[in-house]
Amino acid sequence: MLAKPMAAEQQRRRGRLDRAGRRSVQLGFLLLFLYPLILTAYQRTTARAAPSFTSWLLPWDPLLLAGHLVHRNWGALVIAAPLLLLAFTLLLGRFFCGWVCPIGTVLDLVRPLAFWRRRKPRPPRAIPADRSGKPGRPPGVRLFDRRTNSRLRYFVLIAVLAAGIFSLQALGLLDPLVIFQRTATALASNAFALRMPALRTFFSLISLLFLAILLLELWQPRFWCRNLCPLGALISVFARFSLLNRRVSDACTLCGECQHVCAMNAIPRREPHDTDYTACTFCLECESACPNGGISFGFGTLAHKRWQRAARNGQMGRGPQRQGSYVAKPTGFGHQIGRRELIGGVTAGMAGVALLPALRLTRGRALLRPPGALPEEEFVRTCILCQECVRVCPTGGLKPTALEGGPAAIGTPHLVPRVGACTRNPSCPHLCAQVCPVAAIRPIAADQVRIGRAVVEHDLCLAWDQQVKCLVCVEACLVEAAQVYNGRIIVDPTRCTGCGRCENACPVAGSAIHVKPFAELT
Amino acid sequence: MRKITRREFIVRTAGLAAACEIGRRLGMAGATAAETWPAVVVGRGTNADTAAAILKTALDGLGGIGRFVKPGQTVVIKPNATWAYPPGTASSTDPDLLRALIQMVREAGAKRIIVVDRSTLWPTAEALQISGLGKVLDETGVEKIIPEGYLAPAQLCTMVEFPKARVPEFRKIPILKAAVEADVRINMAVAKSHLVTKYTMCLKHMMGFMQQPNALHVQLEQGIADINTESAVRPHLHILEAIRVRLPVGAARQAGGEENEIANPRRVKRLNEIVVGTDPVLIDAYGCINYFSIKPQELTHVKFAAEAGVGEIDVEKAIAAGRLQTFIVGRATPTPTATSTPTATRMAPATATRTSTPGPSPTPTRAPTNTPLPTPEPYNAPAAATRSHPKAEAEAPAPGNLADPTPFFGVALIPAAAVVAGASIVMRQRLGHQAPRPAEAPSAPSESEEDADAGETDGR
Repeated sequence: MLAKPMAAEQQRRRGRLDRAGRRSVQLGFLLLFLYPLILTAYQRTTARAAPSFTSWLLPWDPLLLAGHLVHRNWGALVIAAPLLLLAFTLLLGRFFCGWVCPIGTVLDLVRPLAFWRRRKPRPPRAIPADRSGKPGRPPGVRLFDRRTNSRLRYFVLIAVLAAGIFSLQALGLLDPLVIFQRTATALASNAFALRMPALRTFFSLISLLFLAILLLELWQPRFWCRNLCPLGALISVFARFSLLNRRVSDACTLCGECQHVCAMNAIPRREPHDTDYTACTFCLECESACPNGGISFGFGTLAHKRWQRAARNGQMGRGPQRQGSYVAKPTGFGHQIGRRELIGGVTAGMAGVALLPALRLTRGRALLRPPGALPEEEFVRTCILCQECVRVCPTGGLKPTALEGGPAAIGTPHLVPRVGACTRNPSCPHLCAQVCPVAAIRPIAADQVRIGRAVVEHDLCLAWDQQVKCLVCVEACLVEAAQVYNGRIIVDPTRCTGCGRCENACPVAGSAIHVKPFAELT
Repeated sequence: MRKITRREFIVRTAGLAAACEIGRRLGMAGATAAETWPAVVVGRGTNADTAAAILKTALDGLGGIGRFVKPGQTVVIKPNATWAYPPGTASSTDPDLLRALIQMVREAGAKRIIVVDRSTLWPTAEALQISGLGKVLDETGVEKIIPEGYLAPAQLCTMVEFPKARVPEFRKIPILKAAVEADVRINMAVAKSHLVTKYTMCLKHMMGFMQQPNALHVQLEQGIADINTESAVRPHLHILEAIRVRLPVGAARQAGGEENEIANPRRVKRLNEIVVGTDPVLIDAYGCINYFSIKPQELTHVKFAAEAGVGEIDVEKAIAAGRLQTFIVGRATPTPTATSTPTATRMAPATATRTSTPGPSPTPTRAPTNTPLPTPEPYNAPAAATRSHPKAEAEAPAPGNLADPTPFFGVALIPAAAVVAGASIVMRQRLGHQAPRPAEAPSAPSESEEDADAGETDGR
């Protein structure tokens, strides 16, 4: 198990290859997760038909699954992907955070931008002998530094799950995979001009969180992953029992280089032989950074237990041992969810939930929701703002709400017929319902679509106001709801589906026929 | 547009005569060189004739495509790609016809071919996919500029003046830039019913060059006449497709729909005609009389266009003067053009002087239009539909299955391969160094785990 000290050059080469391999895996996963989005952009920019895939990222989200479970939506268990991910976590620890998670990839990519954090690697230090002639600890390592990763992420996890009982939106707001999905869609929409100009407002509102994550990264490496990420917290609960282990041999001179390169702060300051498996993502950086080649990774049946057990035989707390590592005393690493996290988190979550009615106090105007959307209150509570429906809408008519619907509706989708009408009847196979990860939009038959009802503005309509035979809306209407009556336009309310083709087509500036949500009509 | 004089034409086509049309043209080469080309030519075929054959017959009567397209020129073709209905419904241009025209234009030596339209009512990808036109565009590899929605992006457009327009607002309007900058513009319309103007043919089809077509609806009939007046976007060649004609039934006058000639023979009739020419008014007037059985003057925008001097509205006079001729597929000489008098027989196109055609196969004369198809099967029988419209059945995808996802998964294999490659780089180093050691065993499954993980994700 213990690798022999390798030649420095060989080890450097190995480190470079490792890093290249890890980058390749990360970028590959990033592209895979972006792939449905790339297809959409391809379809919009070239006008060639391309399939609309659902997100390849969100089905893997254990946090969303947990959100479903707190809603007692047991059917979500059918999607085995999150459970598979957790099973892999038992095997490989927090590999997801270091090798797969798109947010982690982006953070790894922006970290070199923090030029003020760049430091030259320290030269290996000789270990001065202590009084008894045994090698002691170098002065550079602060032995009693108890600063470890904060337990805040457990608070966040508990709070998010507690709030998720009442509103999945709170969960979606902080779920890193949803944050990534949301921001990527917003960015791509702006870049590829998917006819969503209002996205700039949206981008400044909802994607602020992603921006904050990026800025925190420039302050401290992987700050989000270490301290805040609720998904990371959920994964680390399982990662404690990882089968993949980091081993430190007796070549360790306590030089502290591994602690220096560890982005996740997974190596205790006071005891570099130990590893915090709730933080370690197995990025392998420490392995090539070790000047003595004393670090290796390998599988073993609960190997960390075995290594600890071996340590107890010998010289506790007195310098590096001949074989293996040791634990001088419990380092306080590998936090579990204790009573403190549970109570604090639930309190925070409840406080957040208590704020929700306050959000609703300032309600905006009623909005046209996608066809098959849940009733308004329930829809706002369920939608996790992932923007999947906005991405796949074939006409681009679904847009994220900025401020017009009030604070509670920020980021939820609504239909803007002037940009693009709903083609649920008859050509669109109800894509928005197919991609919705939380079933806030339910699939319905095409003849059941009732988004709103079209209303003619008589003082603007050419047929009403100027007796012009325009009839563009009648031409656009697919269900013959817009009709000509005595040369004027009337709308048959029993037929109108509110798809908005008439509003989209109207030649009057600003449209003389508007689809109104039912809340505004009554 | 610059008119080509006869002398110029003879000089220019002298070298091209061999390239365009060999068999039939050889017989009449001496005659055609000496006489004036007609303004409008009707090509007529039967159900057995392909759209390409009818189009070729008609264009040859007009002097061949080489008369309009010279080698090295940029050609803009404007089909009707607005509707997302399958072929055979007379909603959009027949894909076979577009393919035939693109091939003819390409053989004539065009440098660039750009297909231009406005897809207002449907997303472009969907309209192209369902109408079958997208496949043609992809296979022939021509450029396409088909903005969707009612307002095309401003960078695609340029201001064009229509000095003779009567409505002041229409004297200067934005038009798709590609069409204005092209050397040759070909306008290929479908003869259809229309909600507002009742019928739409070549004149109204010009709206598809505009940045904002629905703006014309403010004064539609005069506006149609106005955008056909002298301007930088005036087409050099008009093609009216009447292979299938969409007829109005009562108040149902939509310009597109699901009906085809099998399911609803009262709405979609198969007539197997293609009218080509340089005079859109004469084409539309002919269409009014022969397809829709109305007087051209009854169609307001045709009347306005004739008054604006766009073209000639008197079909009888044009026939008498030889400016409108009819060619039948397989026959070298023009056939006497007959027009039905609108009041005599409603909905009865010219069949009176129809002669049997010595085509390659004995083709039946066209049945009376009350029974539009010579198919003995009942109209709604699915077997009949499949047999008569294999294309419509086969190419029209079910909703929700717009594109076959299989080839797109292939592209996703590239990042998946990156994942597998990266994982194998990392794992190989470990296996390589630990190979001689007995500790290799616990390491070995780790690679398969990584790969299995990658495979899982890629498979989703």
